[in-house]
Amino acid sequence: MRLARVVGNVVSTVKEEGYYGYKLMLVEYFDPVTGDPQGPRMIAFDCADVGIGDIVLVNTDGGAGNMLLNDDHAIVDLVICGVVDSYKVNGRNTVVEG
Amino acid sequence: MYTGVVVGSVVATVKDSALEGVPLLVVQKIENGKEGGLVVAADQTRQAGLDDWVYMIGSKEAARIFRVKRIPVDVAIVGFIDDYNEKL
Amino acid sequence: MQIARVVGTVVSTMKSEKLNGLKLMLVKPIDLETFEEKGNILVAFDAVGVGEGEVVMIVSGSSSRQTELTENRPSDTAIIAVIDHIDLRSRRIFSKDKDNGGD
Repeated sequence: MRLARVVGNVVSTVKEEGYYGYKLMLVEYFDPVTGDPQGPRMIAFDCADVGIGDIVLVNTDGGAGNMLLNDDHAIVDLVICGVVDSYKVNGRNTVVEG
Repeated sequence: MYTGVVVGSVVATVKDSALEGVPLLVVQKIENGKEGGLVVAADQTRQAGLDDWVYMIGSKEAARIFRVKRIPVDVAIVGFIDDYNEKL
Repeated sequence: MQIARVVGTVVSTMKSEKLNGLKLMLVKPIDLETFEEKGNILVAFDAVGVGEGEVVMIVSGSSSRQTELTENRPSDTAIIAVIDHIDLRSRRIFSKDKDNGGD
């Protein structure tokens, strides 16, 4: 899994048949040490009812994604599976606001 | 999944039989609002055309999305972007 | 499988109930040639009980669901061992006794 920030959401009408009914969010990975964004923003499925601005856990395995969504029909790569309250790295604790 | 814009197409006569009837498109990746690299993607929706904003899935899931026993694909177009809100 | 160092922990309350009871650690992969931390920090499930600063072995993908703790759980990266020592090209590149915890 990776730590990511939710930066937006995506609206899509025409899509793969297994995707109907799922919320799509725009996420960006970040470095927990510096807080800097890493890599391009990507689209992830939401199974933790997250909002824009949340720090989240993003699962990156398709098989685990099927388990999280309780759906073998949706073939997915990134699935948001939790909202982060706090994280500690190199002894420094960061509590997520809000 | 990642985003891109369809910028071209690829035609191949000699190919793996699983690829019969699957459109192959050239997609320019869009990374953080900027144009990224070009990829050849198999169009699972079979509806994508030039200038469409799409999103793609990669690796093993790209092949699984076709729901056939085997297909040699590592990038697949899986949906169209109507709109997106980037609030941060 | 990859060698990594445990650099931190993550706390999450609102999450998929399938993740309940699993400890989340932050790990940074280690390049074996230089034995320096390299690459992005990942979130891994702790399947053995590790502490911060320890050098561990992580496994990714569906293989990470092959441990007692992560079996049938939606895991993508799991910590499966704590490393005692590593020998590479007949040289001991890592020993737990002599490790300073990455500082």
